[in-house]
Amino acid sequence: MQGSRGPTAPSRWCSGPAIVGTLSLVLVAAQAPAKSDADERAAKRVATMATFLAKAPRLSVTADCTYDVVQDTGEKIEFGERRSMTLRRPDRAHIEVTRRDGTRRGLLFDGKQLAVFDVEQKVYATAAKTGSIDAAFDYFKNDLNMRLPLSELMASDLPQDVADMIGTARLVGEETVNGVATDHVALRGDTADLQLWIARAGDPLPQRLVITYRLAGGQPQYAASFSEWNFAPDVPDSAFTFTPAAGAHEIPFLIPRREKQP
Amino acid sequence: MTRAARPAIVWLVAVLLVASVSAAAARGGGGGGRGVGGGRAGGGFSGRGPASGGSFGQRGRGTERGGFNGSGPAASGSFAGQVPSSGGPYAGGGTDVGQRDSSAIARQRHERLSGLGTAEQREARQGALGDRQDERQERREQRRDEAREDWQDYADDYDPGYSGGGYYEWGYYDDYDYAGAAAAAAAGAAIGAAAATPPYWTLPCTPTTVVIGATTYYQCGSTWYIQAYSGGEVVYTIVNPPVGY
Repeated sequence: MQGSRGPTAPSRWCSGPAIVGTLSLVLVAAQAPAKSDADERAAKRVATMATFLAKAPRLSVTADCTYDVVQDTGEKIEFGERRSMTLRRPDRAHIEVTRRDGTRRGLLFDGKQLAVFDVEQKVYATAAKTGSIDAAFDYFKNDLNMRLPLSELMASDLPQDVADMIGTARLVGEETVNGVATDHVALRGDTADLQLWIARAGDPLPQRLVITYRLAGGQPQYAASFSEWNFAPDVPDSAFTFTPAAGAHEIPFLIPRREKQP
Repeated sequence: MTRAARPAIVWLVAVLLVASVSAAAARGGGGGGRGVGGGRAGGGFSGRGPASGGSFGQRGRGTERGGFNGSGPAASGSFAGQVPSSGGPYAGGGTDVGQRDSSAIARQRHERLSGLGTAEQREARQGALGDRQDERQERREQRRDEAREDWQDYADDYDPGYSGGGYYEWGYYDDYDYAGAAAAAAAGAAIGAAAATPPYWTLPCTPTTVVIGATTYYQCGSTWYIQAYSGGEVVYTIVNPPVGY
């Protein structure tokens, strides 16, 4: 029963699972969309965007991000951060994050080592990792149990990633976002839905993105507005190699052990 | 069942049906305004829904100051939030979602069981706890349990991998490992059962800081901590006392 929790949530007197289940089936059946020209255009726009981003040898972009966190009480609280991301494929990445509370942190990858740091807390952690940005980001998220929003958008296998969802693409409409004329496209995933606003003229760049975690309690969203897209950023090699700040100390990654099955 | 009771039951079922439909319709709107055969504005998507009003209506119940949880599924910012059955390259999205949530839940559980929590939470608890507050706590715990069940269901339904390790084991936590360049020192410091406890997000005291080699220890009473990254945040984890202490 997603979304029925919270201080004013109605009691569960009407939770007849059979009734709700039958209704859902009817609703889902009624929702199956026929592919229109507009939807074909939406799918094509998404595919073009994915290919364009994946093939860029270099890129930098700034994302103003917000995300909901549903509290134990059912109350939804929004947090936010600004992420400046610079990639030089195949194996250099530089991400700086400034949260709304002013704290700064970042991630650097130079093809040999992954490093994360917190400026205010004066701590950092490093892990040896060779290979591509994609491999490093996957390692960072899966093995080091770290958070890396929008990494899929930065990945060179983005086209394959969206391929799973592209059959569901629908054109919501033509909308202006950040002063840019865009196609507003909605896609559905197995557990999360995705909306993209993709520029209609020039390079097919996403101007905005919203992810809805529709299976999670309270259906929290992650949203990002993109600006300062640059496909020829002038960044020296040194920008990707980590040098600890004076007075910072190194700490380990703490990860739950996974191999045991219940 | 008496003959007279039958019409009453038929009516009750009818009323329930209508109520369910209304409730389902209301919820459908809440999910970001997904249209289900409703208004065709905006390319077939309903433009209306509770969230579209942008009104925050009545104020929520008071929450512990500074005690807001800052992590959850949406913090991952991943849209491939599922693990393909083939175990493809996007497993990160799915596992990430689970992990983020589990670390939050781990914190909640740990705080509840240990009675430690954040400094603010401790202060709040030590303050005058009237009947109302007890009641509120009770309700919150209940919702917490419900949330857990939901997540357990979610994990069971959508990714068997989620249930591995200690992510969704409410009764206990298996273990934690250290990784990264500082792992060797940390593992040396953490040998023993103490390493099996989930991390704290804040320390319960103003600690005494001791630097030994490359490791900084924080001492609260007889308990020793080191810092580590967990789920993207800097946390404190309990370790054995350093040699000589």
